[in-house]
Amino acid sequence: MAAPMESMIEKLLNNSFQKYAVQRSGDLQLQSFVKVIETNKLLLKRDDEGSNDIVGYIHQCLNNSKQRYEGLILLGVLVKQSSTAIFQKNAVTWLKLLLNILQSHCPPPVHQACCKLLSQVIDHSDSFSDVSREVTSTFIPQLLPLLLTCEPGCLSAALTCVSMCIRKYPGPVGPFKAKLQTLVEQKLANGKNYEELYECFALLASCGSGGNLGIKHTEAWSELAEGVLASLHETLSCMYSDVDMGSGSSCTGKPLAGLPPIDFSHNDRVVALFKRWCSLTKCMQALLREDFNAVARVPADDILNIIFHCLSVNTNMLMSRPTSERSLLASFSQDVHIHALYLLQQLITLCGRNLIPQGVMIVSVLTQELSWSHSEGDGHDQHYGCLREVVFETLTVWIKALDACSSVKSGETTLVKEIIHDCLPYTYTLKMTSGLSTGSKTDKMTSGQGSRKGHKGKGYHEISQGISTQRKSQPLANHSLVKAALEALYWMLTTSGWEFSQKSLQSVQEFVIRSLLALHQAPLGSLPAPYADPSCRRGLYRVLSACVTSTHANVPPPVQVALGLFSAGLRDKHADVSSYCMEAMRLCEVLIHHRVPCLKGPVVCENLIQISGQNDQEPIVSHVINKSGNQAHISLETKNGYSDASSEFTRNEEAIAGRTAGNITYNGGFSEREIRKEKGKE
Amino acid sequence: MIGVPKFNMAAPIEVLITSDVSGQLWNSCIWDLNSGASLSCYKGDATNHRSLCILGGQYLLGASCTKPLINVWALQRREQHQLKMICAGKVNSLTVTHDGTYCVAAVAENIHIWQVCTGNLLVVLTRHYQAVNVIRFTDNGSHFVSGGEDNLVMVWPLASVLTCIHNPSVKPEPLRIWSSHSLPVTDVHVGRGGAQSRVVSSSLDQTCKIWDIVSGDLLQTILFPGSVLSVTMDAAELRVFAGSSSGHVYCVHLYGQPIKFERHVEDQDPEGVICYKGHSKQVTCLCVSMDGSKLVSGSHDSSVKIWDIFSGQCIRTLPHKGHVTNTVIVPTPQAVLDPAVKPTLPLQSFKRHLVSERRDDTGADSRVLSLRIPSSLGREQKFEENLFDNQDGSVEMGTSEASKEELKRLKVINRELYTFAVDNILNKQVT
Repeated sequence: MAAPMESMIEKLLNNSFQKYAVQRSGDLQLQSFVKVIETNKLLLKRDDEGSNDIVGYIHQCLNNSKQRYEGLILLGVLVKQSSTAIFQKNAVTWLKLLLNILQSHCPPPVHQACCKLLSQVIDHSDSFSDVSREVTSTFIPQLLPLLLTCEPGCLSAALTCVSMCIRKYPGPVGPFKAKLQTLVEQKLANGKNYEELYECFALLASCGSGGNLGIKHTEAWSELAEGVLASLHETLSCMYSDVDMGSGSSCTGKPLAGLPPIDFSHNDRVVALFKRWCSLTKCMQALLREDFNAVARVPADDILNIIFHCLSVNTNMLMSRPTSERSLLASFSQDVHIHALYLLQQLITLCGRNLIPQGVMIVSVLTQELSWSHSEGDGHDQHYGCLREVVFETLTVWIKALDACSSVKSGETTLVKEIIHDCLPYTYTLKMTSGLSTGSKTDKMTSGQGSRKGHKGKGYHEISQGISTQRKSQPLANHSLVKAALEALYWMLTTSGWEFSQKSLQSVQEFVIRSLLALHQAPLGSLPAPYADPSCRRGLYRVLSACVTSTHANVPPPVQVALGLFSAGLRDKHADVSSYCMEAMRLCEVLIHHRVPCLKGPVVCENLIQISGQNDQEPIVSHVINKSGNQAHISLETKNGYSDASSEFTRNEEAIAGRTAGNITYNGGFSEREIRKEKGKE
Repeated sequence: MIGVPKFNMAAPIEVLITSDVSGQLWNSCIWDLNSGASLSCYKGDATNHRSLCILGGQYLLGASCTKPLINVWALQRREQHQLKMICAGKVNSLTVTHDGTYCVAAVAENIHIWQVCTGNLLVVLTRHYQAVNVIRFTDNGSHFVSGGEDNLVMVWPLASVLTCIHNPSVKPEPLRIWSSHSLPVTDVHVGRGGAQSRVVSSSLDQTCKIWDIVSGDLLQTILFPGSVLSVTMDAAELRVFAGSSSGHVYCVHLYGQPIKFERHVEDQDPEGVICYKGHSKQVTCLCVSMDGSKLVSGSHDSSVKIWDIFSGQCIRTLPHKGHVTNTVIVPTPQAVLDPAVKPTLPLQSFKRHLVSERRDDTGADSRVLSLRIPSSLGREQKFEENLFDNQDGSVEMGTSEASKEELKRLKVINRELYTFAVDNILNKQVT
């Protein structure tokens, strides 16, 4: 099997190479030739002889100033696919050729490609002792001065190459460390903003020899971290000089030498400070992210203090007594916070459970962010949508890193409230006055008694009558925010759902069940915003499955309702959503068909989740709390066309009676005892 | 010949670590569970009951039997004693979180918690009023369970315990206090499921009790003919194993018969219970292999026995020189297989006093975390994608557009210069 395949590929290669390079017939242009090689992997596993021609041709191209770019492209493909033998034999030649190109005068794209290619070759070179010896002794000392003085147009590519040199050959790069640091800091000071710069900055710590157990690297890392921290402090105190309440934490370190302070005489001061803040936080993120071969001494407390300090000043605070500078700062405030949160995410990713002692603080800061950026939805993107999205992302990162140690319990009430607020499907009944809402209620009471099917969705239709239906709608408004919020909710439930308060957990269950029912009943093609987006729908189903699987001492999981909802979800038009429902159905199936008998029965159901299909109006989910024989009916006020968790409790003796009139009752758990008890009453 | 992915076929999937009270041959030894061969051993001192654990897959920690010490060995350096950490008192039980971030030790009636990467003693819990016998973490490290001489079993949430260090006025409280045992608690086993797991506790009052952490309920009580000194469950929690003072090990099928709140196990009663007879003295430690097929028991008769759970046969006996204090089954750590691997986990010596001030005597910040930054993923992919931004070879074309512009501009300048020269300079010379 293998032999014919090989010979076939050889023929293909020879043929296309002949067409392309030798005959230059024009049948095969460079682009197509590269494409052919890439898709068919023609150079893969070629032995030495097999690709001699093409290697020769590439060398010829690289030597010829007119064909350099072509040569680089071909070499790129060859490096990717070449066998060990070919690489070992030619690596030094390639490095020399590439160095020549760098030394010569070429248009920036050629230099860029050359740098990128160099980093690839260097990446592979350290596996071969003879090649790496050559690189260490002669190549790097020649290459680095070139890279450091290259034209601004291809600096990012050059820095990629420098980073690769530091990763693979930290020792030989050592002598250039000071120059490199000056260059990087200079670019940072000029507000240059690209990832390679930050990466290179972080790798500065690994330059030179490490000493015993990498102690020198550790020291260099600490020095860099201290410098960035001090500069962050400086920037922040400058930025908040107008509003600071004197809480500014002190910092003993020395700011980075290459970054001159931005004082009051600076043009565009606030903008410059904002840019400085962004690039410094990114430097710190890079320090916390880039792999480092020694032990890093991470000043986690100090970094957290800076982040907390940054988040302590918000737009509302700034605009409560606005001055021109404060207003300007306020307009950047959201982005400043977002960058601080990104830094927090990176810190959490690195430190993980070592941050448990600071857990309550971190959660409270995140809930605080949600509280001040709270705004009423109107079917369009929210004011602080981006910020809230990042907050939810950070929360997710936090919970994933700490599992059940995440202390989300401490901010649970606010978090649940804010998430539900953000995720409620938007319907146009929001602006209704109370008078209208009572009207709609009576509507509901009197409207037809016909078949369920005929009346599906009619509730919404009727409610929105009388309000102008001409609206500029945004069917995907806030979809990324909702997705992030649902993800955070899912992880909260999965890791800490068992310690939630009864009220919070019930409100989550109610929200998710009602939302899904609303989605099922909405007319096709006009799903309430933002659930036209499949990932949001999927997120909602995920939350439902988390509700089903989380165990709680008092709240039964809504298994019965969930089975119905998931099977309805199987009919979703989008494969992602329906396939997830299949997954969830399997899960529910395991729950209802126990594999082993149970030591502990399911939570005895004192709370029935009752879904009333009465009058075929919008569904009402209500909890019948059945304690000492009293039936309390939580009536759900219409808001957003929806229930509010904090709705009043109205005693409703007819809750049970209503159910006998042909309504569907789902009981949340499996309590037969409860059902028997109720039957007895009836 | 088709290439086969390389595995170290000889490497065991799991290894057994044991220790005895004499420490004559070694302090602790790593065995191949299948063959009974000794893979490596660690010398010096002897390790106390329930205080042998592996930190981050790289270090072996064992608390001394007699002295207030925790001994540390890097797993790949066998003979050599690495580090001795001095504690406030003799350690009765020692455990670490699965990721090696925190270490918890019972010293008399107190529970000490250290952060491994700083060595800081974060908190000392004083809630038991007699000596704590055993501490175990849940499998996700979010809670730990302690059982003591005072007949109490307590569940501590790590998060709220550690949060209290910033607020000394708040005294950390356990999540659950279970007080149904009437005599000292001897052993505790925590099942799977993180904070939602079940806990089995054994006691001198001849019972094992199964608890639910979420609700705090007592689910089942199993009464044995003698005091129970050790207890464990298989991973799927189908069976409970109890080591008794008589030397018998009882295997109780939890679901073998109708579930009762209270079960009485007697020596004569074979239904749903298997009794493994072989040890001559009390059985003090038990553990089950990953696949739930083998049980390992350690006893005061100076032997460790490996049993086949289903048949009740003793497969192998490993002789020891004193009371066996620990039997632990772990997935084979890489360092045991490959001595060239260096420990990367930054381990600091545990401090004896509570961390209070930010700066210690040397001026260094004691709260700074010593961490390894793991190599970042996705970097490789990133630059493969954007090797060439424009792959159509049109670089000459692209620049020629620009150069045409430039050429045009230069031509214009040239012409202007020419006309200027002609008009002004040449004409002047003529005149």
